[in-house]
Amino acid sequence: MDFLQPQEKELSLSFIQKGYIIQPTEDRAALDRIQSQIATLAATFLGKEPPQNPTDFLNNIANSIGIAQLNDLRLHVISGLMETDWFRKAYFSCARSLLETLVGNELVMQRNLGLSVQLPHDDSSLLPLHSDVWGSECSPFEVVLWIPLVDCYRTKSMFVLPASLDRQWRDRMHEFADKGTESLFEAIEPEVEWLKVPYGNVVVFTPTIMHGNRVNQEATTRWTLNIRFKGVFTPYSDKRLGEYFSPISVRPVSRIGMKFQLPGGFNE
Amino acid sequence: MSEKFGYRGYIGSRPVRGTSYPHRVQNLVIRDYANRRKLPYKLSATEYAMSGCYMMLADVVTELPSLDGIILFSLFMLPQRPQRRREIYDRVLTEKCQLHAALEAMVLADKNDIEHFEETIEVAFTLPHAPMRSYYPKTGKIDEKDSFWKALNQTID
Repeated sequence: MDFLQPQEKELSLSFIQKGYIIQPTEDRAALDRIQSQIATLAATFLGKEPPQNPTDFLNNIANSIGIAQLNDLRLHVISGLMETDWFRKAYFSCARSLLETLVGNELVMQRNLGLSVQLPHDDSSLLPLHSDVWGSECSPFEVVLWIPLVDCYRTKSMFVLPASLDRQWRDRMHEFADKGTESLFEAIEPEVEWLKVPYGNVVVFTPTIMHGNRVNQEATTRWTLNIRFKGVFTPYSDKRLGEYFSPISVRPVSRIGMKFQLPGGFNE
Repeated sequence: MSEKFGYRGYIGSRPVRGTSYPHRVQNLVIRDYANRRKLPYKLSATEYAMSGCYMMLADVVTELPSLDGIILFSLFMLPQRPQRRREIYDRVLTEKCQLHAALEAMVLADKNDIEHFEETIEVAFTLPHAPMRSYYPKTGKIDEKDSFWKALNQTID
């Protein structure tokens, strides 16, 4: 039985085949506000005024900062965003209905956030080929909402192995047991897709598929955010409710059910 | 009346959501949390092992007039009965204190924070009744008799 609407079916099928969906943000004002806040935080870190053009400023941050300061900048921006009271809601609004279609309408959201800043030709902040479920305490019931703050393409973006191919390579992974992940990457490289995601678009992907990044060979800097979502009552792994996730859309019937108690005081 | 100073740690001797944490590890987590937030930390009270016993927590609550607050190792060490938790929140707020949960990095500083605490606790207490007991095991075997798993498996490729 499948009572999904035609549009939901189409999205679901595409997601299962590819492992990801790219679409325009559902709330452009929220995305622009996030981008502007990040540019302001980065400018503050560098002792500069908030930029007039956040996109240009973020793209060309390598003119103002070196690799040695990069992690401090990243931590400064992350901590600033965590203290921004509207940030999490704004982030969710960028892809709310997409998440509700793919995951469900009772959701938990990662409490922290991931921020990737990759300067051109910087090999210090790479994420080699991996699937999150293999080693990072993730449950396969999670998705990642990945949002670029600048245009992302080719090596300035991330690569994924589409889900249909990922299933085949997963079955062969043991063949690389003695060779390491780099040799696995070399084997799958002809089949990976580099996500082309212009600013203004969002990506939702399942972290079960192999993905990662390489040295950014483009002329400008990559800025991307990632935050995980899952169903409130779907299985967790060791990224647990409370420490890692917090509920953001518990529905009234669940609230009633969680508090419900049968009448007591009866004796056999 | 004595002056208020510091945050009393609170660790336990029972598993927290099924996981046992050594006292030393619980104290490390609390101390690290206090350092990061620049909260003056006062040596932890250690709850007894008996199920349902919160005597040490009751002592710490009594101490609130002379404290800035309490740092629990985990949110899920609060009493299971909602009414008991409410009484603790009320005492904390009446005494103008804060209640921190180090592992979850959560703070109850005013009455608006109560809902966030309660919703997280209620959902966590409900998870063992959800499909697969809401846990995806990566080691060992999935219980293939789990009705959710059986139903799910029929719908995937």
